[in-house]
Amino acid sequence: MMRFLERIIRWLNIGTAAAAGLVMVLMMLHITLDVGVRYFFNGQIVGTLEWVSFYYMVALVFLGLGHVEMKNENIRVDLFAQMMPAHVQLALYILACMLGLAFFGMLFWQSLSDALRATRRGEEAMSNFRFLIWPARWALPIGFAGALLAIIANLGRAILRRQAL
Amino acid sequence: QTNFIANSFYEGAVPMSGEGYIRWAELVQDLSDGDLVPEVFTGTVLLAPRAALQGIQDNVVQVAHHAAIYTPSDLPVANAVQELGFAYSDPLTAIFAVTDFSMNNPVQLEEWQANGLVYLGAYATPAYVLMCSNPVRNLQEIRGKRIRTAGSAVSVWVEEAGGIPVNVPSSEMYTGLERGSLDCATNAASDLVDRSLLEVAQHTTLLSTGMYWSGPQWGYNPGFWAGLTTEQREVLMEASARSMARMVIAYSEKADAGLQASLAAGGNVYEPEADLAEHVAAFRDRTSADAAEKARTDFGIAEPEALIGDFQDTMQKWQELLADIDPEDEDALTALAMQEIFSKIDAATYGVQ
Amino acid sequence: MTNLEVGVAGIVAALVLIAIRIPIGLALGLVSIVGIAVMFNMNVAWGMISATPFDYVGQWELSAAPMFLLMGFICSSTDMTRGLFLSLRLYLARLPGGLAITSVGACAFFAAALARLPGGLAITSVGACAFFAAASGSSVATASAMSRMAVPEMLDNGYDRGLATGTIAASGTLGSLIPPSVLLILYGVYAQVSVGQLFMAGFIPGILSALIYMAMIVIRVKLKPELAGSVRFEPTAEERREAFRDVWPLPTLILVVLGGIFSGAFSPTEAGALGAFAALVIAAIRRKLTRAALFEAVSQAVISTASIFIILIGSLFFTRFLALSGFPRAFADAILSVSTETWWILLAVAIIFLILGMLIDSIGLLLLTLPILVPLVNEAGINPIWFGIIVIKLLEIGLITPPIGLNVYMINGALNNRVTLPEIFRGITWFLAMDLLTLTILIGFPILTLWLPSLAY
Ligand code: NA
Ligand code: NA
Repeated sequence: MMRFLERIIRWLNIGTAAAAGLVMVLMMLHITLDVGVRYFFNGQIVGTLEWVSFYYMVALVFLGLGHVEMKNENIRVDLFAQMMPAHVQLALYILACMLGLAFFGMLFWQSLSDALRATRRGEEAMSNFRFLIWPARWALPIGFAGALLAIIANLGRAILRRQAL
Repeated sequence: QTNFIANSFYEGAVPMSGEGYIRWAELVQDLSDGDLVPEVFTGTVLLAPRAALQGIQDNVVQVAHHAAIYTPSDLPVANAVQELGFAYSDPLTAIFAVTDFSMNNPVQLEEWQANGLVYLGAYATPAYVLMCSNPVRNLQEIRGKRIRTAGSAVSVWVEEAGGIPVNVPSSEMYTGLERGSLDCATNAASDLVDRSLLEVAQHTTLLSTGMYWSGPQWGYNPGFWAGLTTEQREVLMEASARSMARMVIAYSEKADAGLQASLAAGGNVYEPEADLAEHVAAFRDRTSADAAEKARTDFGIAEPEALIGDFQDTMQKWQELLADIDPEDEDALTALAMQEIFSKIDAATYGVQ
Repeated sequence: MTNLEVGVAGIVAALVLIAIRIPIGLALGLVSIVGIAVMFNMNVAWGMISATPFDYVGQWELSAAPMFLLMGFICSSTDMTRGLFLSLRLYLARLPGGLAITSVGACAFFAAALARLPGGLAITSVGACAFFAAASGSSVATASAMSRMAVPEMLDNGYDRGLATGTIAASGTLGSLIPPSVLLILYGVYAQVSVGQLFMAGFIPGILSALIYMAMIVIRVKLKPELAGSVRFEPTAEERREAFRDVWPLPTLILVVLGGIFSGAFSPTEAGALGAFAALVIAAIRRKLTRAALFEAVSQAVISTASIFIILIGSLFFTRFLALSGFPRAFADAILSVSTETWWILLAVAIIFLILGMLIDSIGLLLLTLPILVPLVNEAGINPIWFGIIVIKLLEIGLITPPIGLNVYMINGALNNRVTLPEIFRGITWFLAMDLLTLTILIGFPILTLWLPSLAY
């Protein structure tokens, strides 16, 4: 059962990370095309700045969060923990997971209510034209939820193995 | 003693922050004999520009500058009125008229209240001018030029005049002009010095392409505001009146200084030629005529004619009030604002829910 | 507790949490939320959580970071550095300087001029690192790409183990100084300085660092020839041709990216996107663009981006928390009350980095300290571009000093412990001495840093 849940969480996070990767490639192509149009046709693709700022960056950063948690690729300092006995390491890891649940839980809760509010009032940004931005808000709760699930999965794995990840 | 946090996202060199917050804080302390102590944050240390409104609502800051164009869906009334920015070019009239309008028009007042802020004064930029790497004096010369614009009305006009409106961050105006991905920027002439544009844009055309005033220069959190005494609120009103006078004087000086510096550095300053001036005038008339319709369709205002009409009347009223006043006399301007705006507001009840 | 005391307590709490292996972004973020709730109330903390991540992540200037990360990972996953390394070796063995300059540019020219000098393989590695640095956004990526190919080669040729690994660990740090550089992007966004200007500012200090490393290697090997072992290298004509055929990718890419930025043709974000695109095209031409290579590059870029940005978000929270506590102002006042001389401020900053650098690595340390340092620098009136380059150099020194030296651990891991950590750290000592020399020169002659940006703007 535990393993089944873990597998589901893993694939969910791989799915959103794949979406983040796709967005990254799209962003590269979009900007390249914009520069090309500017140099070869003295034109422009309207909205490149807005797409990059409000959609691509937000999606590629937040949709990748769960995958990073799952793979324990967070940047952290191992030095002192490594000098501790194994059970202290496990305790510290469990503490890290608890704090992670609290932190990402708060971020998830607040960003979810922000996304709901933005959706309800059809949030827009204004530049040279008006631009819908509420859909981009949803990348945050999705990403934070992925991180929460990943921490739960990792915590379960660490406790079952009695070993810090 | 009341300590509170004040925030303006502009750098300290911009009058909205320099005069409007840093010097304003000293003024507030002086006027209240040290009873009111604002701690000022300028720049984006505390809040991103887009987040200022929410920062006020959530009481992260107790007072802040908020540019309404960043939140069009939250502040449709303020944005509908900003659409007229293209139709005016005198910041002195605008700063007081917008304050008058924003503190008295019921529709606008309701919007401030619904968005959790207490409005206590406006800002107004000088009329934006064209700063270009090559001369742009007539319709012929504007054709095909890539022009950095900020705002929908200006970009529509640029397009109609044959140019290409481009949206890049203001931080990239300099490099854009320098490398030729931009031909012109439309901004206040103070940017010739503040952003060093005079190095890359030697040709300035004094063609007014609109000005900005939307949203509160001082938007207070309602809970904080309600917790102040009547005397404290009166102090803040007087601080608003004098700081608006200072801001508008300082901004005009900075814009003039920018033009002078450009000339001194060998740059050129032009008046637009007849065809370009006429094209803008015609467009300006059209936007004024369409403002009410636009307020209805784009911003969903229920009675747009009344709203736009009230705004235009207030502007007219202040043009007349200011006709005989020295535009650089800080004391006279302060007195006028006190007399015509703030003395008519009841500090005991205004903004208190 | 006064707000200032809460600020100090928050800094201590964050450091303790980081020391017990709590992820850095999480430690900074959580401390900030608690600290703000203590100073004000939970409402203000919720307001910060709501207003910060969405509005700051979407900054145009920041979008250069994932693009340069992607470009660097495409370079390493499609093995783009190998041909350059082989060619540099060939030119070092025989060819005259003139041909080298026309083929691979200034850095290899310098290496070729030293062809008759001892320690050639180590010098080649420094040169190749400098090249890869110009195509990669990060130091660790640079060291990682070079360690797999250059270190075994040096070890097989009887090089001193400390010299071989020290060369790569130290030269890898060029990755953040020679543009493009993710650290410089983050610094630029925080200090509100043009990223393009910062990129230009980092170029000469980066090349200077490389040249000083090279000179040191030459002198050491001359005095003690056994350090460089006995290199027997007789390339066949076929090997020569093959190396020549594959030398072009990296210089081409660098031309696109740095040429674009330095000439002012592209903004950093555009250069990053075009660079990543060009790397893909080059890989396709070389028939190295397999589905696996592309997949690896993109997934690495996604992971790196997300793990950097989670620290960035924590750091943005921390900035607000500290600003509200009044700590940066009090700290700046305390430092400036001792003296307002630039040397004193730099000394104070260097000491902070030296101490914290023992604990935290470059991105975390940069994002942890900027909220405090940027107000200090502004108040002291120090040129923020010059200061940025000094800060990056200090951070890079931290990458190779014990006990935490990310580059050192990475090389140790990449070589499967073939060279022990103490051996690597011993080999680095000489490079550290050179870094201090470079740092002194950069502090003594700000023109070295500020000349290129002044030309362009
Ligand atoms: Na680099
Ligand atoms: Na270190």
